Amino acid sequence: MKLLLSSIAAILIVSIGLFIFWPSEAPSTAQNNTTSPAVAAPETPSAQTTELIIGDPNAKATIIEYADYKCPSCGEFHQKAGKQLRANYVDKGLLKIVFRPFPVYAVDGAQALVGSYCAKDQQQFTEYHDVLFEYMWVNHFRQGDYQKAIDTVLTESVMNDLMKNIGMDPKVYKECMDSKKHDKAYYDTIDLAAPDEIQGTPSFIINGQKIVGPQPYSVFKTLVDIQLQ
Amino acid sequence: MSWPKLWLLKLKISLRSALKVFRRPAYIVLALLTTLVASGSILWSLNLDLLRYIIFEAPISALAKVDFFFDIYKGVYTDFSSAQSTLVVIFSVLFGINLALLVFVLKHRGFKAIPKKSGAGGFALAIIGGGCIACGTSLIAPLLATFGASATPLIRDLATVFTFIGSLLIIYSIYKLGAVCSYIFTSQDLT
Repeated sequence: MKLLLSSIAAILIVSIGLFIFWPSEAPSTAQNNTTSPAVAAPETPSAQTTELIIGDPNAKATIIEYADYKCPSCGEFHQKAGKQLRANYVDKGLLKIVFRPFPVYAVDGAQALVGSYCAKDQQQFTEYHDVLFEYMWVNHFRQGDYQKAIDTVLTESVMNDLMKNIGMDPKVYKECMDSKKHDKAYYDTIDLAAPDEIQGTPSFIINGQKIVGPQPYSVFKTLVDIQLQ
Repeated sequence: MSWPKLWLLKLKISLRSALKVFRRPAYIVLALLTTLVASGSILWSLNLDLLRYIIFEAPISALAKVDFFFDIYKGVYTDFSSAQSTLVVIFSVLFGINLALLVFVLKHRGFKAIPKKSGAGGFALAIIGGGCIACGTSLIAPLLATFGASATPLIRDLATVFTFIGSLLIIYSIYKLGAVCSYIFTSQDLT
């Protein structure tokens, strides 16, 4: 019985001890911004002028999201916690989501991420963002077909159809892409991932706290509510 | 006796002895506690700093902190894909059983009686696989990149496979420990 009780106590002590004394990660640049409620302030001038924002840019709370349209877990976040955050906070003007491209999957995915800036030129970034995540989820990831994350699925014709659906002009989009005028902003934004210690997608920063993975809505809600206090 | 029959008999004896251990309530408590710690380690593995912030620094009530901690347990059934979350739950329960049996064997026979393959490898695999459920691409992607694989579409499948293999290793460990328990029950006349 002694050994048994010691085991139970040991498990509790070791877990609590590991939890408390495990070394924290070095603070990232984003984490250094914790004094300001709007941690979205980007670090480089070109990223500053071209941040991809969903919601009211003056909203009190901010979530920085690093994602790829072709990442299944990012799609899962958007179907679950993302939709709830949009309905309960973003649509009410309380929260803005700063979308930062973090290319992980295939060339067509990276192209679609660069295209976000061209969609922004047409005042359609939010719709473009939503339609791409929805397309990947409904047609591929919902069925568990994760292979499509690396297959080329966002072809020119698919992209054109999606853009037409949301009222974007594919010709203007193509001209924008060909001009490569947003490449610098795109790469500058990707560079922000290193100081934020981003290693995969989806990753989020809320009020200086990093969240890794498509966590439940309550995790995001707690941190957003703290930011809104 | 043919080998499949012999193997089945061994399995039956081993499982029956393992079940006998859980007639003692303290071992049920130990198994439950270990299950919670194991699943927590898997689910929170990549967000420990966040958890620490919420528990020690966040300006919210104690009740909200407790709620935050347990929400991810509820989330395992709703927010992750079902096959993966089911595997995490199964693995954690198996790990809890495994540890309780290990303690039982230790108590009655000491370290020498513990079978060599008693679950450490299974736990490592499940942490890699299970951690990835929580992270998306964060944990396995750098591992794959280390081995030269740049494409990571199968990460979610790999996570499931890792947790599955981890669970199989733990089952094997339970079988081996159950056999030792059966010896303990017969030789010491325990019930």
